[in-house]
Amino acid sequence: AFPEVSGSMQYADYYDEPETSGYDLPNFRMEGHLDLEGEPIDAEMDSFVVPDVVKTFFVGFATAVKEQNLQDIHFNYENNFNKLTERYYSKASWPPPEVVSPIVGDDKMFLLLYKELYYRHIYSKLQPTIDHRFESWENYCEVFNVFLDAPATGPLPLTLPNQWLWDMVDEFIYQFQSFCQFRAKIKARTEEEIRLLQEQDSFWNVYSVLNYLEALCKKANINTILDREKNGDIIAAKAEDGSFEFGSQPLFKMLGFFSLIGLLRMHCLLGDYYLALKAIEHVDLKNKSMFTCVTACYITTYYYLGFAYMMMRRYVDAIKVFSSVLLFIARTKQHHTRSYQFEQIIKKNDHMLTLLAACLSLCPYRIDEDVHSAIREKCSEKMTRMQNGDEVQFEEVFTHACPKFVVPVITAQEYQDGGIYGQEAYKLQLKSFMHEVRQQQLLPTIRSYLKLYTSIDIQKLATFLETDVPSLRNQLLCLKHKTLSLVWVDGPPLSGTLLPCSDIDFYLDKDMIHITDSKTERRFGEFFIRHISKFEEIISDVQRK
Amino acid sequence: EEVYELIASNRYSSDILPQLEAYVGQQVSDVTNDLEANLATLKLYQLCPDLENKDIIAKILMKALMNLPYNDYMLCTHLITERIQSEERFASIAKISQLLETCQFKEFWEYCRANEAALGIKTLPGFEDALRKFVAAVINSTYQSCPTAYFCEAMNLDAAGCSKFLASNGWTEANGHIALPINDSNTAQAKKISETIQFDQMSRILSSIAS
Repeated sequence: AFPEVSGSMQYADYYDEPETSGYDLPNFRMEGHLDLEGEPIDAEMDSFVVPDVVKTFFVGFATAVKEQNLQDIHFNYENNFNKLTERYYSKASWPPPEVVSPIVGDDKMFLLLYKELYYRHIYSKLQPTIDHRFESWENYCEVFNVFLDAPATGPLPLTLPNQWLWDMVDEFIYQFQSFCQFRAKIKARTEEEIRLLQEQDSFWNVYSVLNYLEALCKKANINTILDREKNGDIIAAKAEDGSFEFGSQPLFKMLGFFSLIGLLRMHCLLGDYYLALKAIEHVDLKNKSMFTCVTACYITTYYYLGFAYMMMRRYVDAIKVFSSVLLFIARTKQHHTRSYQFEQIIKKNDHMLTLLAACLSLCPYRIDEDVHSAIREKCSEKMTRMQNGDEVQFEEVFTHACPKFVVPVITAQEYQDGGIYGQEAYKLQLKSFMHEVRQQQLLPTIRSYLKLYTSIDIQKLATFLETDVPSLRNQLLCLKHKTLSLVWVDGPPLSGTLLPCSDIDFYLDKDMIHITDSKTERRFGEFFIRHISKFEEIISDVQRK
Repeated sequence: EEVYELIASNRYSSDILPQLEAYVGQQVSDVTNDLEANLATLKLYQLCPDLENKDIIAKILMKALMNLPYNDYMLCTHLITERIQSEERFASIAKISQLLETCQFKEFWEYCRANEAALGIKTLPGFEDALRKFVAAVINSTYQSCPTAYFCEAMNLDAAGCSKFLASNGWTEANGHIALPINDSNTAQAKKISETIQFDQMSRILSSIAS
């Protein structure tokens, strides 16, 4: 595992949330980067004079890649690239590949990798044109093809830090999202762009993206590897048929694993939550070692996992998932305060906290004290409003914290109509979520009344709720129906058993409702243990001084 | 079976669409339900809008409703664009889903009777039975004894049909109330959540006490 040092620069804008321009999704990057006169800066600069420092950097980086010197590669990738970006290229693009090529002696592999960084930088600091988008797509295809075409005889003579592999997959999906958004805003596209988009429909084609991710998984044979590791097997370099087992090379194994998480994310973005959970069915969520080498991977996985559960109405599972990752972030926050990733981690933390509050409003459940106090601190107002059934608040929370859904295809008719379709996917998911919220609107009030009694006549309750007995009967049935949901017990994330998940239990006997509240013992053990440990720390501190 | 093989190997290829569509037809006539295959079909429609077949979509949604209390219907609607969902036929399916989810059973049967042609219920064998099963299950989880009249209304059964249903499920009736079998849901049991302290938490304390 690698030390958690500063992350990649592309995070800075991906999760950026500027003011909405009315068309854009609320949390999508604002398009256009303006210079001092308010004119959009062209990504290309006229003359490229490469400073000596940068030249030395290129040579060193290329050598490290050729010699498979992982430490150096990591250092160059994490530190030097970002430092030089800050110093020279914070507003302009890095030297184009043609300029760099002679400096590194036309090292093809290095150039492919460099181009990945080059385009990533353009997306992050500048405004990518349609040509940039197409070129970047071609580059990704080439890079992935290098991996996929690796001959079956032996390992690929290349090694890359896990952080880079993760960032590559992450950025790949991000650029796909960006492209879909770009394409869906037909009104803002020039005629030339529209023509290109319709002709070159193989670029950033949703099928191709999905197929690449699937292919990377298959090449590394990741699902079988994960299964075998769960059973404690060691992966041998030779597969059964004598060919090379790519999953035994860390490069492929991690790339395969990150692609799996990439599929989880892609399917969530397309609204297919069932398939999203199915994609990671071989991942052992209890064993966190594969995730924690790249923090962003861990957080991303759990975010999408929790979101998928929530959209599948498995609120208890969503609550558990969100709570566990929020605890993880709270514990490890201090290690990241100086890294680039810190902002994004905080942002995701915020998203998940609000989603957790929403889930708890729809399905009260007992959670850890620390998480509970975090919610109380940050979103107590929102939570109260949601618990009172405030629809607008639910919509706000969903819009703020949902992933940036994509519209995968634009039909010929839509091209002709020339509208703006970027929000369609998001609106569909929001509508579904709000349906659920509305169907459950009357339930919290009933719940609160039921909590006050151990038995109450149905007519009396109807009078309290200012409704009639038949409607109340329906609502009580609804309460029972809605609190019966799938809960994960063991095995793949998709599995689950139907269990009642309510905090109050009731039944009707003729016209009488009988209620029991679940009793919780006072938990003083945990409280004492925590304070004992804190006390110990204080004592040892004092003793040291 | 072979549909699964197709999905496993060629999930994103629209070539497998004819087989998947045929499979939906088979599910309708066999009164079976296969969520995964149907979701795969819907996904292909999502990715190739020119191949979409609204009849098949409608069938898939109705089959999903037949699988209540599982929320298959919700999962399906995530993959169907607004453009399709706003059509009248799908709006009525959405309406009955709404009635079912909020457990307004009497209104649900009324709506079905009124819109039988639009919903195509006659072409779906087993639709009424599947939904009756769902209604019975919900009532069973809520009531220990329930007024017969109410039950018949919720189940859309007349007196004769009702007695037949009760007989086949072994439920008894007395004094205008049906006695429902006791299960986990319709008994209110006080759940006592007690605290469990993990061993490793204790071991830290114990080790410091020992030192």
